[in-house]
Amino acid sequence: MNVKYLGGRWLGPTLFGVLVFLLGSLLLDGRSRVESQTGTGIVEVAFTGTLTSSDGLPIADHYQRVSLNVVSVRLNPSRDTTISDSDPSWVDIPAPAAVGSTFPSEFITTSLNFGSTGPLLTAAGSVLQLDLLPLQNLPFFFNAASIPAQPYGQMEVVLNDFNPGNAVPLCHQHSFGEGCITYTTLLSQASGLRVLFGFPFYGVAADVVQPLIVNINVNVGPPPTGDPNSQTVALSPIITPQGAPLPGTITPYNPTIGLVTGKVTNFDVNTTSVSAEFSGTDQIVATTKLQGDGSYALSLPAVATGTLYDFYVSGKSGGYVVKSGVLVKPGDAVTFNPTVPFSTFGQLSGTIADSCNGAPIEAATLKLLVADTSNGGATSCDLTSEPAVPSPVPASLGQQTTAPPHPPSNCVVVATAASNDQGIYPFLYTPFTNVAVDPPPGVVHYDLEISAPGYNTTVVPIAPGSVFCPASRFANSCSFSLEHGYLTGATDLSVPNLTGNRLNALVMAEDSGTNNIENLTLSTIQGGTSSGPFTMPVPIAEPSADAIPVNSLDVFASMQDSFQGLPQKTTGHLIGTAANVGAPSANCSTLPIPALSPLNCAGLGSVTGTVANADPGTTSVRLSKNGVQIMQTDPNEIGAAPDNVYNFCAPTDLYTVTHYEGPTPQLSVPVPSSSGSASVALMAPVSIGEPCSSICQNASNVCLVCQPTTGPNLQ
Amino acid sequence: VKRPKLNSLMLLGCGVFAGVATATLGGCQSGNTGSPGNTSNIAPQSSYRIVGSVGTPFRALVSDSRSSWQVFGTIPTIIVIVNDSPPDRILATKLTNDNRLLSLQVIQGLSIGTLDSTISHFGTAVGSIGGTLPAFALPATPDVRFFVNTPLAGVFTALIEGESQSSAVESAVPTVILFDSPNGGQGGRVDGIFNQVAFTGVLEVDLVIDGHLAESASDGNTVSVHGTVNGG
Repeated sequence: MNVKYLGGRWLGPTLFGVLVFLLGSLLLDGRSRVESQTGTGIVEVAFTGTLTSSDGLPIADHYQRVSLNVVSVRLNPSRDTTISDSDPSWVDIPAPAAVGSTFPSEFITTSLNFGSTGPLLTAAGSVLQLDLLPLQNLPFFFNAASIPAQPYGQMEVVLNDFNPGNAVPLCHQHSFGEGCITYTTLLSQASGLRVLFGFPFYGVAADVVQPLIVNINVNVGPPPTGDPNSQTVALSPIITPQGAPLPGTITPYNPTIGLVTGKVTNFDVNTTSVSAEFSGTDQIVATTKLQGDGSYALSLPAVATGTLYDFYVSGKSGGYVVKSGVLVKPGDAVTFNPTVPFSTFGQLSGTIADSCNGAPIEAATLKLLVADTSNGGATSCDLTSEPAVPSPVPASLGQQTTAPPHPPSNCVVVATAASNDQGIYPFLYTPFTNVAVDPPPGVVHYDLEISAPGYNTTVVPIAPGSVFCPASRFANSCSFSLEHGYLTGATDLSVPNLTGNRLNALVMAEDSGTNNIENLTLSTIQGGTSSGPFTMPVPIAEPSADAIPVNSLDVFASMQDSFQGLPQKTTGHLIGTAANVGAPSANCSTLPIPALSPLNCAGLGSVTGTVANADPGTTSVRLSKNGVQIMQTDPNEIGAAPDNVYNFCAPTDLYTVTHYEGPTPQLSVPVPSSSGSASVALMAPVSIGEPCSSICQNASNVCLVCQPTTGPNLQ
Repeated sequence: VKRPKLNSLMLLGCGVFAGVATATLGGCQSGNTGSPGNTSNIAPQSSYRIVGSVGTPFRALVSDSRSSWQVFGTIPTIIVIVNDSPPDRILATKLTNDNRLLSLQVIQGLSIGTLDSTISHFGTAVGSIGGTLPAFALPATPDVRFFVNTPLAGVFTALIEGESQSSAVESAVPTVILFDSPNGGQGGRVDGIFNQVAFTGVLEVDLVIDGHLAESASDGNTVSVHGTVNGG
């Protein structure tokens, strides 16, 4: 062995190196040993939100919506927060473009992406608009990415340079700025979008899936006092990654989310995956492949009182395994250890067409349903008339007294497909191309649910051990024609349209007494006229036995208005309504309905109030006019007190607000209390002289500035 | 020499007009990437990226100053207008009664113009670009659409041609290309030549004219579809 002589000039650097090694060892002590390995780890980025207003009141008292336009999240091993944006050590987790983006990991996918095959050669960057109000109550999974396994010292949330966010303020008294329309935002100097992780590092381990939960604390400035062309809304977002101290405190941010773990028996490590979706829907929240030993872990967002999920296992190792209605709570660990049964595989295919004219139906949705026999008596997902709602609905609200047929509540959607422009499904390389044909033990057969706006939803059985439907209109496939009728009517103004432009109204038809929208169409009122006709396909009342009937419809129309040339979601024209107009009885028949109530220009207004005992997971408020439900608060938007505030932006008119509760929007019912529903008249806008801008043009040809209304406090 | 290139997202579009096209576009029609002439690029044009919860069905009403189209699709979908006539406006409506995300990006050239999103039941997202369009235009006549259906998430380039105009497109699958007023809104031939940037699966393209399938084609790397628009 040769020993190299170290001269005195090497002594200092050598000692320094030893010291660094020892310090590093101490710092890294206690962290996973895999962090020092090479390779990559999977990081799932999730956001939570905390919103504060300039005057300390709940944000929903001032704003209907606040959003950030997020380009990416990036991490850097350095703890020097002054390093350059172009530092090569930054690791990007981009916004999920869902198409053509670089999604480096297919190990785990969220609802927003399905992997990709490479970047566009030239393209605008992807930006995800992050709605901050529901973020206060339910974490939002931004994206997942495979990144180098190493310790990271800092992170940054990158927002769109030119438009970092948007805000929709409610109407503001004594203000000349219009409310209920979209404003751009400006980041204040107090913003902190590049921050250190908690001491010393955020470690990413190789071959492990781990969450990175980031809280976005946003102080939102006062509502603007001028219009969007002259004013912006000030935002001061400060991010706090898990483990780092919350702003102004030494308390580390320790978020809790739901966790589901387990081990799959009889799996194919390359293809078997476990998926979690919101219960009763095909809305996949996350899907993960398995580790080499069949184990898996899924981090899932959940509200404080818990969120219901369905799980299923799929892949080429065998048949489906389903588990329905599992309550996942933050901080709880749920275990699901499925054993995959034997099955062969096939492709479920066919065409979907209009039964009246034979035309292909584009973008029809097809869901493969499997019953969870461990959670309920149903052994198939054939339509049933068993009650789906937990309590009867007051007839005074116009709701259908008997629930229409529906798939049993223990059914899980294990695969979804959509038809193409020729009505053909499935697309290549999608789940329907690889269906396990043998139903799980105890399940009689699969069912296929076929739906498209304007058509009766149809649920048909699939022959066991095959991928064919006995009722298919073509042999050896699952091809169906969907039934429908037509609704024809008109949108009206009290006086002719003298704006010099056509007016476009979006007309929607929904199941009577509910917010379950069946279809929509556009009605155009030409210049100089006061009426615009419309015709739209709608489901019928007497379809064939395997289709869901619709007995009666409510119809409403909303004008598509602009403010200072920019289209707005809210309208200053009255909402046109027609309640309980019936439904076409037979296939291809047409039902004329009376003209909707006039859509005159009235100007905007807003209303705020509170809801007693609000739970963000179950509470919603609906706004009705003339018995027609026209708006609903967004899911997870109403928090617990003192953030139990609801708000609406709507044209000035007389409405009813109603408190609803239910585990899902479809199962929500009005709260059975006399003070759970109340009338409210929105305050009329004030008129101002020129120069000015207005959401719409009334007969007096003046500008209208909206005013706030204090609404009822609902029990 | 500048090659006309109309990216669905960046849309460095180019219109090459009659006369010039006759002399210069023969190579392009055969998939040759050679010189199309000295026609300069037109101004950055607009496109729409509808993303969010994968698989969510939506209906978009897209309009420029000359034509409007109703597009049914599922998230994600890119919508491109070839031979665009700004200003443009879009109304995208989610077709589900749930809290899935629909996020809309209106893009001009390489820049994002407006952003909007919704998580509401049958919620809408709106956008505009290139100025003020007070109302949606009348439905396109003729209505010429190219549907690039698979491979999902693959990247393709395409040449969309009328008899007097040619535009190059680069986009990701799935994309709906709306060809506004081909051949000046009169009758004539339209075609599209599509190439995958890298093979990721079968490339499948439909050409639909006035609601009827004119041609459907699929192949590995290169696909051509052709059709004839009836005289206006």
